[in-house]
Amino acid sequence: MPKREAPPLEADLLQGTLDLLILQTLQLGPAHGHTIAHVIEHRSDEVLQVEHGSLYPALHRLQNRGWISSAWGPSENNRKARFYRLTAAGRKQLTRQTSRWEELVRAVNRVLKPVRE
Amino acid sequence: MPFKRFFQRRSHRQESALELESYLQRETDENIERGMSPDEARRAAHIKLGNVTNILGDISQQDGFGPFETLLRDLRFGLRMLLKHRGFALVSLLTLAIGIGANTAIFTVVDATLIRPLPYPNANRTVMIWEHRLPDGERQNVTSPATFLNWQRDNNVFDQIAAIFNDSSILSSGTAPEQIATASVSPNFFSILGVNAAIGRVFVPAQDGNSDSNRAAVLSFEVWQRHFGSDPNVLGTQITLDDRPYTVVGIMPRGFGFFVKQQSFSPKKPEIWTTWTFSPETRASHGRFLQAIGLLRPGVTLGQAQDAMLSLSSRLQAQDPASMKNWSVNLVPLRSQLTGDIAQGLRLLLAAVGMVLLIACANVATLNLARASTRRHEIAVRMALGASAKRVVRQVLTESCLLAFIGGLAGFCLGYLCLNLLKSIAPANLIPLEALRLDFRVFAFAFSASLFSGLLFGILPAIDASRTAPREPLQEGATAARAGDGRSIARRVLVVSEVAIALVLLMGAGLLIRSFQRLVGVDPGFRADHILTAWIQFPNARYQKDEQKNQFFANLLDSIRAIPGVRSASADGFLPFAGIIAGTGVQVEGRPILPISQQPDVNVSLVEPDFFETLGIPLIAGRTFNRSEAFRATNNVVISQSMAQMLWPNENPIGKRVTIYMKRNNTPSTVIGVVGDVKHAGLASPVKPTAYWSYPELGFQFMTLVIRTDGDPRSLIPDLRETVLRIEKNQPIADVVPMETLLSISVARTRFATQVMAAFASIAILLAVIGIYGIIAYDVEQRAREIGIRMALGAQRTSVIHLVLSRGMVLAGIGIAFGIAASLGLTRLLGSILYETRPTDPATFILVSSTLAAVTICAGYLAVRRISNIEPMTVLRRE
Repeated sequence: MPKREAPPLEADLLQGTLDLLILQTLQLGPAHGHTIAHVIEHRSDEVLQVEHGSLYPALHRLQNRGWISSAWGPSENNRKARFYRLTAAGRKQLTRQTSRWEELVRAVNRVLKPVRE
Repeated sequence: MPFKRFFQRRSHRQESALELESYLQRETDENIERGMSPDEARRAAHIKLGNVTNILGDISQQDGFGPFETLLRDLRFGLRMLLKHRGFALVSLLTLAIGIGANTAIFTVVDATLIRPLPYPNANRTVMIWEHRLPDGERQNVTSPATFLNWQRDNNVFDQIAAIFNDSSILSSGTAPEQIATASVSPNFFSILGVNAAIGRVFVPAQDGNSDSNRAAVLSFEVWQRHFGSDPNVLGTQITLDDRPYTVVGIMPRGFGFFVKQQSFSPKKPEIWTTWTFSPETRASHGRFLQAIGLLRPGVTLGQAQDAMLSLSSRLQAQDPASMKNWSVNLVPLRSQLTGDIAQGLRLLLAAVGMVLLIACANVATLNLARASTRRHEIAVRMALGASAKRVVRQVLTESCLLAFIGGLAGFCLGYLCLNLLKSIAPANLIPLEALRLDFRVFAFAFSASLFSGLLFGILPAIDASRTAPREPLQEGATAARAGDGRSIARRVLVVSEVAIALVLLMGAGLLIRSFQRLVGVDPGFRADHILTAWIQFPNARYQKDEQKNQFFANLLDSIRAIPGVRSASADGFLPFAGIIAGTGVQVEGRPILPISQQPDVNVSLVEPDFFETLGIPLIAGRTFNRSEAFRATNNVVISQSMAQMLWPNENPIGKRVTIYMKRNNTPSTVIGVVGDVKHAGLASPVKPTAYWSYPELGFQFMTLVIRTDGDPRSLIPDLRETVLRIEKNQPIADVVPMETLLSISVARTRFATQVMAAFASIAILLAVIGIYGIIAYDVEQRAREIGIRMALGAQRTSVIHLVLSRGMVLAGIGIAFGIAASLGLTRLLGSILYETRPTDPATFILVSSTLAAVTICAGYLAVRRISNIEPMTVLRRE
């Protein structure tokens, strides 16, 4: 078990949602690990600082579950890279997890709002 | 699916490594584009990605059987560590093997006697039914035919009850006549136990035992093999027991036996069963000699049965106060009956051997803790490289358990050896030797004991290791690592408890040894050396007239006296230490007639002339029997000193007359002599008043020859057998043993318990010494720097030695103090076993404590001698 420097809250949060973020990124089209990491970081306005290394075990896990598949191919600068694409099962999983996530966000917001006022 | 992944995990790992490398290259390229130098760019890429090894580890963990694989890895590593630290491993393994081995051996005995079900299907519902003699509290007394028949007729709690009479008979069919242990039992005896014959059948109540004309016999498997050569055709044929014919109807399964020794007429396990029949005159008899066994009705509890029988007993008392007053009834479940007398001893041994295991664990834990200090560096490196505390604990525990299991395996083998040793020193009939075997259950026990000890001695070092803060030992450097406070306290607590437990064991052994010494120092009342004894019994039908029996013994004894090497020869009806004697009430002539239940009780035996002289029982007053009294009943009696004191405390008993109620015509006997008391029932038993008649008074069918020899009594055995056969060609003799052997058999149990306890105590003291030595030696090693500085600053070597030694001795002292406190509470459990020794015997306490103290001082001194090897300069330069 690796000992991470990141604060535990962030790590815990990421572990649960990392799968969702990866699936969402791959919906745009096949990509390799480096791209996925940067896309997640970039699209969240650099808020979600993914430790890039943690991405790979997640990718491996998603592949083992059959939600994504991988193949080696040439990257943009003609180096060999491993490309991941969303499978049909992965697509279904993404819809399900997204709606579950939105539900959760709505629920948490409902709880949080009165406190702010 | 996991399997497929499991086998592909090597290629997966390579692929992932490639993938990570491709990330790094890409990130490096981008960083260079951003203007970094190539080295810087690569470094930044690594930081961004994180620990490559951990990532790969995370990935391949998904493909493995996680915990199982970790376990394998830990085991491999543990094994390597053990091989690397051979000294530590060897001492730990030896310690554990001894602890687990001793436990395995004792557990095997406990399993065979107390845990495994009895070999009788109905054992759970089977109880022995005894009479309870209220005046002296004998709770297990045999019963009379009259009472037995009343119980059988009037009880409402038993399905059935059966009577048992253990006897001894001459089996004279076949080759040589053999004196054999037999039992007369009610025909339903076997169906109460629920056991059937292996060949043929057991008794059938309607068919067997109704008349004296067709007597049936059932053979044990062993006698069938030994005497009848396993011939199946023996079924249905006739055999001769005590000159009477019996038809063999069945042969019992191998290993079947049933023997309750309590007040049994014969001391040996019966090998042939015949049916017990109540003749019209015995039906009304109140002489007590029958054992009774009953099968409880289904659903009836022991308590209910006991209550029902008590109320039946009081009804019988009201009907017949003369013979039933002061008698009650007592039910004993079969299991307690058969194992009750050794259960307590076994539990004590089990507790003792458990303590040995605890000491062994404490010892290994101490060693482990000491080693853990030197391993701090290794563990700190592991944690710095990202190992979690949980992971380190697991690793250390796995190593402990590995050690424990190897130790357990060695212990299992050692247990096998111990068991053989136990078998060879265990007295006969104490434990069912044939039931002792190392089977799956014992293996499971050894396995759990190993696991238990592995966790027990591993937990402290594991917790300790997980607390290691990585930075500290790494900065300190390996050599300067000092024992942390917590660790050192744990070690000290372990050593203190080790010494304390060892002291408790030692105290137990010490008390048993002291008690045993007192026991064997007891004067039995006769001289046992150079005496040969032999049981002789002739069939009921052989001699019709008393004169023939008198003549037989007179001739026999004369012939024996003529054998060279024989000093004198005589015979006794009930030999001391052989286990049985007859007892009855007496009435002194001229005093008010007392009812039977209030008469003084005495033992009665029959003797031939020269008996007291042969055994060396001193004559105190009057005379003993002369040769002519061997031929006719003269109503003379010789009494023991205690009987004289009981009946005539302030008078001269010689010439007084007393009625001893054992003959048909109860004419008073005249006291002609007073002899010394004999410890008839054993060294530990109190003396009982005893009356000796000469043989013709009762003319038993059996006597025990008592022969005093010049040399080794055993060398006389062939001549003796030959002499007996010359006088009567079909007459065997049995139980030919020197008196000294009988004496030593009588203390065999105590000796056995003492030996085993002493062995455990020796192991305990050995382990405690290793523990003390270990902790002080370790202390010296750890403090080498401090000691070096002290000496460099001018401290005397002797004063440094004194300082370190005194630290160890304080621990030993605390251990001994705790041990004494614990002993004061625990040795009380030995109370019932000890003979004339108080459980808190001060002499034993002082001796044992000072012995342990002395031994630990020696061990400590050996350990501190290492200080002499410390060169201040070398130590200081090491820094």
